[in-house]
Amino acid sequence: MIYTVTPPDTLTGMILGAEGIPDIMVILNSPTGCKFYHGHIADLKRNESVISDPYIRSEPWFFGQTRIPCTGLDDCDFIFGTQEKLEKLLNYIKTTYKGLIILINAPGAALIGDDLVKVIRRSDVSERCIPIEIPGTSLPASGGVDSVIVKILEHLKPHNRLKEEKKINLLGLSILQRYCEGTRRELIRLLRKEGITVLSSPGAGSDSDTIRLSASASVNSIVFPEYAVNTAEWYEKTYSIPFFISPEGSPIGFDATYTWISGLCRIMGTESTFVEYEIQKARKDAASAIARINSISGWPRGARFAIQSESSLALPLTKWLFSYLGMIPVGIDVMDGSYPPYLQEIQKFLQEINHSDCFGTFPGDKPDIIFTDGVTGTMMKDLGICRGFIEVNHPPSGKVEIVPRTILGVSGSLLIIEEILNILK
Amino acid sequence: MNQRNNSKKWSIISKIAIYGKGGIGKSTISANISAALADEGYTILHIGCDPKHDSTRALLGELQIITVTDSLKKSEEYEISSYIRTGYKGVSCVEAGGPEPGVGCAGRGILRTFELIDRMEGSLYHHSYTIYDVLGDVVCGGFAVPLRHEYADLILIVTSGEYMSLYAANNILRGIRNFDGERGRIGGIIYNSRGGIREEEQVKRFSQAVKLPILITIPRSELFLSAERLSRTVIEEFPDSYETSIFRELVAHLSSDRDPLPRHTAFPLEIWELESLILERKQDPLPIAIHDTVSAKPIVNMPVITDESHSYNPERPPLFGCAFAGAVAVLSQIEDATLIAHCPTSCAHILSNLLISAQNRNKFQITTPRYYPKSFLETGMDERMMVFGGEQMIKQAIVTAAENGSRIQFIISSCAPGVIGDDITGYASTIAEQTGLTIIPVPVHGVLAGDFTEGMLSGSRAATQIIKRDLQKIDKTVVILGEKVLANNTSLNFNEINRYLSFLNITVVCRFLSNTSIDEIQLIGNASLILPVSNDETTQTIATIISEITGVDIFPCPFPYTFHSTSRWIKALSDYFNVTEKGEALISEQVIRYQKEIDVIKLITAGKRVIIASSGPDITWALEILHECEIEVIIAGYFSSPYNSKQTFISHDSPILLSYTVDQLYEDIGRYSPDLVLTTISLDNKKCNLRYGMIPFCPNTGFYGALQSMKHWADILTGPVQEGWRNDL
Repeated sequence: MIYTVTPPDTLTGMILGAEGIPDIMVILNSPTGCKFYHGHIADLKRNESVISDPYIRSEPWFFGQTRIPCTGLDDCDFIFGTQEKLEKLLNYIKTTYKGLIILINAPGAALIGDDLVKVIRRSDVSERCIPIEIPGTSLPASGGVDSVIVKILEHLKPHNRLKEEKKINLLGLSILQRYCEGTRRELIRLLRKEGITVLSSPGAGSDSDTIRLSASASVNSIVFPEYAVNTAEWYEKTYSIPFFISPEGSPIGFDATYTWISGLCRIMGTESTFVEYEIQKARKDAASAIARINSISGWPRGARFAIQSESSLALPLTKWLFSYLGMIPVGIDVMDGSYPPYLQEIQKFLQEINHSDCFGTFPGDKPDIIFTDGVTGTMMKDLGICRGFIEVNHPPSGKVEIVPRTILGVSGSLLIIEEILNILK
Repeated sequence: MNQRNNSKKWSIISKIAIYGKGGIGKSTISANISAALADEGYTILHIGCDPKHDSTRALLGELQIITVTDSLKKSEEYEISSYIRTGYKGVSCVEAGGPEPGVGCAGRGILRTFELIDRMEGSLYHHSYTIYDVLGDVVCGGFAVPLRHEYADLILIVTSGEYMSLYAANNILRGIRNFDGERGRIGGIIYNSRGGIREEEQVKRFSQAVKLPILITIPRSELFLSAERLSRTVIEEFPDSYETSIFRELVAHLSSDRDPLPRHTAFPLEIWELESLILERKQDPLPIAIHDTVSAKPIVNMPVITDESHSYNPERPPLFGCAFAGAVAVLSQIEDATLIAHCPTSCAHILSNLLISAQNRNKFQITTPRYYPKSFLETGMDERMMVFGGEQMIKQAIVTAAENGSRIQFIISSCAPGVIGDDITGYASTIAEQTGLTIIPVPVHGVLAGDFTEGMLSGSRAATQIIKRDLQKIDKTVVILGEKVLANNTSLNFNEINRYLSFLNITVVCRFLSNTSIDEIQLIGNASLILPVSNDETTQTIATIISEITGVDIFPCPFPYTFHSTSRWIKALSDYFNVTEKGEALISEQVIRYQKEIDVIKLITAGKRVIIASSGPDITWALEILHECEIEVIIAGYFSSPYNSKQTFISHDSPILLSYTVDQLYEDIGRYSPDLVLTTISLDNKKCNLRYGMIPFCPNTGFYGALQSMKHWADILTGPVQEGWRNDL
């Protein structure tokens, strides 16, 4: 039994789902133990140049951090209720912050059943505070992102205007995922070249005003279905906006990227010539680099890989690594909350290539490279379980990142190849 | 109908919550109200909010089979229709259900039921009336959910004339007052007579005191028992009886569009008032508990918390982290123990990330990664476990761990098990008895036991349970105690100290608790001496506990950071083990090298002036090295902070300010223009333009520990006054 990082759950999903909207303030009704981690991650992901000092920062309720104020519950609050602290916190926040507030009960606080709606009403912030009384415990984080985005959309009520041709929303991107900003930029870049404009990406950097304009989109395109099927269905039901889910999974690797972009282009009535050209060019660059390494060492053919991720990422990655690079799957662990159709596709594919025994195991038998979160990856590399790792999930390894990067799209495919070759050479 | 008030037009009633003490007959009364309304042709949804799920029995003719909480127990998601059974005259019956008595959280079951009701509102289930039959008293937030405005627009309180029944009724009024304030939502009292002496008089007195009408009086009658034996209501079984006519009269008023029932505000009594009223005791007002916020009357002598006051009650400073995290952090250092974290996945995620990240940071400082915690199991508390408790999941985790060869298991609880009262100590004892495994509960219950430090203490205490007693002492062996396991330099510091110990032929039998094993902990009693890493309260407490168990002496000096304190530490240790000459040799071989390094640094630092200000970490070691490097310390201080106790501060020749502030720091920078500021906070470049360096929270130990920091600060003195990037912030 190997110790890996327990994946995040609904609470983290909801907090970071909402924190991905820059002008929203998430408040936690919780002890500080639930707050510090999320405050740190939110601060890191938003990359704001505000200095934290937990010992000296005097602002109340923030406990020295820049994000996620919390009630700081203690044992007495669990007996006598949390309303008094909540009211004081809301009264403070409403004077210092003018935007939308998401008030989330952490699991312990949710148990005592305090009436958040009443506190919000008494604090006179009903118009701009969304209570989330029961976040659901120990459920997948992706569902938390999806549900909090729906709640925010319900509150923001995007303007129901005429649909604009060739304008889409990117759904299913969240700052909870690795390289969110880089991924958003890459997909916007590729789509723009095909004449498609991205109106908004709720949960991945779009502010409230931008999201209010999102109902003008003629299609919603889903990057990671685990994080957005409910959101997409909400748009469809409320504004009759259809949504697109690629049959090959998220746009990772050349093939799935082409399928994702060209599929969307077909729906939008445009050509996908730019992406086709860009992928051809990238494949040539990649092939030259691969050939150099391959001629010396024989790699990457036959290199063993293991993946621990959601199915939308695991499916295209497994197929691409196997078919394009000749790498061999030894452990494919699909996380809870994965998109079921992709899950079935992975099993089918592994069966076809006679590697179905690796499904459900991680890291499997002597992998050379593992695709997982940064913390687990670092530990496994240190333990000699693998030769290297590529970060595909939260939490990050802690490495400082300034340049936006991605593992999706054309740039992301090249980055993955680069990383693989550097590990194996 | 005893009282009516036609002066005001009231909204139409559709959702009625019926509250009363357990066993007072409210289920019988609610079922009869539902039946009477159904007789009038209304569609009724009857919801029983009592774990014993017998509210709908009289309407269905039998006990409801599937309750809402059953779906949690069986981990199955039923269709909404599965929870609804149709009873007398088409009444839709739902039972919240709940866990077995004494386990889990019944209130949580009620919360779950109301989530279902929310979902139903968007579905096809529309009813003229919804009747909530709610367990006895307002015992927690879960049972108070029906009081929330969106669920009940009328509240009826059932009581007899017995004191405890009136006491419960008064408590319910307190709950309503808490929710509604001055808003009126109470229809009145349903007096269910038990036939006691002066009973009616008592109820009347109570009703007058709390300003509520007695809506109906239900006599003590054999007809109720006869109907109950047949699992029916009196409405169904005795439709022409007087008893039935009482309910018909009530529902006529409830359902009147033209003249809806008036709603009243809750005016609960103080306990002494109630006792005086009902028991006729003459009592003075009792002191009122601080937490009592629901009184109808102004509370005198209570601290008033205004909206402008955003600070905490100074008697309860905020807790830094939680005891669950502290306990897991220290116990995870036992390589072959299994940790069963009884918690929601979010807690396990935070903890596993924290612990592995700390180990990852330490990787370059250890020669071989000897230990990694190989067994960390989480119960992943979900909604089902919140209601029914986690015993099954804990058992499953224990079995899994045992199958993987685990010798000792620690069960650590987060807030959620604490709130629902999950008895992990009881589970551990039962399972240990059944299986013969060593299972040690650590019931810190998240933040309920305190902060991170408190958890470290609890975890360490739990680990001391496996120490063997009455072991033979082995000469020149030590236990290292209280290493900071989350610091970046834990291994580096251990390696340095261990180098000195090896030189003195002293062996470490256990690092308690850092990178250790069950065997090592068990054999702590072999050691001759405990070496505490610091002299903080937690470390000293654990040292005392271990010393009491094993009889091992405690070394009085904490790990040293400076050359001179290291020399003193080695001298004292070598004297203790009668290897004085070896100690002297160890020290003397460092003297010349150290002095050379100081002389080089002094070329940069001599005559420089420094202000040093810390928000917690000890600075006495820094003062010593600054002094050696001939730096003048203008001001030395600790910032005032809720997180530092200053209990560990050591006196020093330089006066140290104990309540320094950031504002004072900026003022002093302006006044004295120091060459360097050493601090633990980031300084605002707009307020001061000078060189500053950081004081490490965990400095390196040994002869050259402080010197390493000093070298870095000396380098800063040779760099630019301010870096260019600061202008871009």
